[in-house]
Amino acid sequence: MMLLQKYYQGYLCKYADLQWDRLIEALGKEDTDGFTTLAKGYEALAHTSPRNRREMMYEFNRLFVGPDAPKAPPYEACYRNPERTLMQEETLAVRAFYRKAGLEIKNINTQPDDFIAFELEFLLGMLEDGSGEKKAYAEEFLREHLLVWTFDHVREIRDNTKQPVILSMATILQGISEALKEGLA
Amino acid sequence: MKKEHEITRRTFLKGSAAAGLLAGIGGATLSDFSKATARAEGETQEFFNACPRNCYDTCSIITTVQDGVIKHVRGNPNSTYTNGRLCVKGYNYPRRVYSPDRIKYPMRQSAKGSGQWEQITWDEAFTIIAEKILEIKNKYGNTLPICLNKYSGNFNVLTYGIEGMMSSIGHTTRCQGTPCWPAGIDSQNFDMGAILNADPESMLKSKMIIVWGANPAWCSVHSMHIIQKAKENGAKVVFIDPIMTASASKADQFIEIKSSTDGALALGMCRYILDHKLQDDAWMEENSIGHEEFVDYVKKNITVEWASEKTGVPVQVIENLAYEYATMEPASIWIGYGMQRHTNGGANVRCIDALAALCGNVGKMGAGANYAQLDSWLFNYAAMTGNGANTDNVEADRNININNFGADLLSLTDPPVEMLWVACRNPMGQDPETGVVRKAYESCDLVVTVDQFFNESCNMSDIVLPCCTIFETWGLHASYWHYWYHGNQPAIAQMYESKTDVEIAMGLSEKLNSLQAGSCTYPTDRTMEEWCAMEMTDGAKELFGFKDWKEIFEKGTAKVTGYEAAWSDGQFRTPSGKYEFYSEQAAAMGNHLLPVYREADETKTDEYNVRLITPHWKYGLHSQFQNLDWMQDIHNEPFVEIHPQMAKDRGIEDGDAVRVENEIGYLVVKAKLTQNVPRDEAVIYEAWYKDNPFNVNYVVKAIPADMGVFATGQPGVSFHDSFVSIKKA
Ligand code: SF4
Repeated sequence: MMLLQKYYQGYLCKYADLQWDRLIEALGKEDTDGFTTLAKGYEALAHTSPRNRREMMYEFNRLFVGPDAPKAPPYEACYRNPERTLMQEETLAVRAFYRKAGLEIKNINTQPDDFIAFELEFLLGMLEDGSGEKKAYAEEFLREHLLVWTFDHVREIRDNTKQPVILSMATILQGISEALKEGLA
Repeated sequence: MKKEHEITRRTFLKGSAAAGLLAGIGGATLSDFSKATARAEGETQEFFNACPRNCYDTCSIITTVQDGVIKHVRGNPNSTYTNGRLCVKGYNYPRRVYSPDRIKYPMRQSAKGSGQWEQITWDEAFTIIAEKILEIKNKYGNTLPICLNKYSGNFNVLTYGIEGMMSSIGHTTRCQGTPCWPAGIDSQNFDMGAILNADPESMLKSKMIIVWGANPAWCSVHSMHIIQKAKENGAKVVFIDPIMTASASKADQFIEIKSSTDGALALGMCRYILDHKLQDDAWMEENSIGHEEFVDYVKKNITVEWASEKTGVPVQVIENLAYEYATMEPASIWIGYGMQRHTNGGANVRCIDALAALCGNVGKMGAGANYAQLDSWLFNYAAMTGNGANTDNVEADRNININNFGADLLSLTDPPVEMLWVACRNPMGQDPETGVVRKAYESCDLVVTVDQFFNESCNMSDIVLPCCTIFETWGLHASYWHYWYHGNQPAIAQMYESKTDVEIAMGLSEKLNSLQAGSCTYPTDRTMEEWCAMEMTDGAKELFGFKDWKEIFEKGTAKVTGYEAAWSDGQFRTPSGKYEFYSEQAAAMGNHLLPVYREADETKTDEYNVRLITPHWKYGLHSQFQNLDWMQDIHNEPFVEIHPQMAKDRGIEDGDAVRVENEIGYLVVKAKLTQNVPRDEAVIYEAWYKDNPFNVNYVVKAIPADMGVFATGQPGVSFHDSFVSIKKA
């Protein structure tokens, strides 16, 4: 999950070849037993070429950042607001959730609260804490927010790109979403 | 419980070897979060903003904000012009601020048009730009190879920071002139010494209103409201236009005129008025020069029959209109910008001015030949003023014609242009002759564009920088039509990494000086609020009764008074101090001394024989607004309007794809049949659609208008004088 969080923050866009090699090696050691989509995602990523990884940035920006209208905007509201507009009730519901857990994003109102990297970071924070209260927040957040839209987001990515690294990361997002969903069931 | 166990057990969810590697980049988990602050739930605040678009109405806006987020916008009732309402575009503003499509970060493209974009920091952007500027300066000893193309996308006085920045580096190449209205500006300068319309709210006092070549129902909704009210009060409202516009359909009378023949109609009316002795000799005697020569010209050269033949307006209609105009005092004429976008546009405006003056319909309440005004622009232009580093080997900026930008830029060789800065403009979308503009972009090493949304101009840029919306900054705004003066304050935080033009100027200045001390004199130590404070003139403060400029935020707006009737003091700003029927200045600029009829120079050929008119569109303003979701929901497809007769002759049916073509390009667009357009002309509204290559300017030629050089430095563009062929695609 941290992988996805850092990925969406753009940190992997300029990752060096060696860093990628180490990361892929470490991912290979993760316990994905029983989670086939996730395992597939890691494997697909391992099979991308260094060149694919170096070229990933342009496609990443085309899908998620800009400057042209992003093809698969990484904001919850874009999948839940009927007009795909940010900072409406869908985004503010995410803000309210963070607040319920005593948090809000820094420099609030300069970025949408429902940016996927923030949602993942929040979830990670809740899980890492490990207390019963935080775990309950994590579950509720998954149910009410993250898992409601990540599958649609993955679909939108697949509809709009053929870039191997981006597709692998989409599969990883799907795999993790499935794992979390199963955990909740 | 199993599920809890399952969620937390898995290392890939919360911590693993991979996580260990990743934890080092960026911040630790939750470092993007802070403790929630206590706040009063539901509490709202209101802020004053102003619509900065190139629109007659320049509305004052009240923005309601809750928890730092815009909830809605409405018109400011404190301005009796805005009067509590916005237009459909204005109500879309929150969609603009919160569109996922906004340009969010500084970005660099690997090659123009490649679509390969890299996110860079502001510091990197400033470094790339500053290094290029210094390289140019080293190579040429001056900065003329830097060209600035900026105009009307945002008229907040603080957007002039970029001009100020350029002037603070040295001398540069500037796109001079204005595309929209220069021919008419010259006309009124020749006739009256300035553009100066009466307060549009005074139309309520008119007995007759003639709107000549404007479509306020789409492009100035608040004026339309005033006109409707005047009509209810009993005023007669007449629209003169080649197109039966949405405005014209609401008039008492619509007069369909052949494009570009407006001057003939005005002169025909003059002839009728003279024949029936309805002119105001006393007014002319006291207030004008050259009226005898003008009267003589009309009597010798003009007949109503001739005017009828030229304009396609029946004799009887011209006579009635002339009679009513001369007798229903006061009568107001609104001269629209559309009618002067011709090779004889300036001459036509002078004829209409003359008609008003002949009847003494100038200087009186509810009267006037109303075109535009700049008297209420009471700004110090502090952000715009740059006091150059004065270290270059040239004496002045080099001007090129904004209306022939592509060709002019390409023709420069000594020195050539290497760097182009584009702000508040979309030349690839809006300039005539798109193909040539593209070549100009390609010829530059570095093109920097500052914008809010990605368009074709951004696509042809090397660096794109995100700028703030009006809700994220300070500002002062004036209109070129009404007399309200608005304050603009930040309602919300600047989103993403957007900056204002002045902040960009300051950032670049700082970078330039860090690379080479003294290379830029633009001040870097002021806040945006301080910059804004410098802009209101003492005259404005005195007029408004303000001790401090910030008092503008008590009501958000204040009125520049004294213009209820334009020229009521009879002090014309011409060399003679009088209304000049006979203008030496006009003659000195190569025009006729008198307001005479000038034929349009038509570029019609046997093949390309359909005049193409490209007016403003109702859901957009040039290339702004139409890309927003609400607008796309209402309308999202360009079309060409043609008369059913023309369609029939060409075997075209409603909805067919047609090819619109001429010497410089073509486009394929859907046909819409309507009797509202002339039988031998076609209408395509100029606009930019998201994800659509449509651009009418591929077939619009950069033909200069007859006037504009005198007051604006460059002639206008005859946007409505291109001819095309129309065929089923
Ligand atoms: S576009 Fe014109 S009418 Fe509409 S809100 Fe802006 S200034 Fe007002």
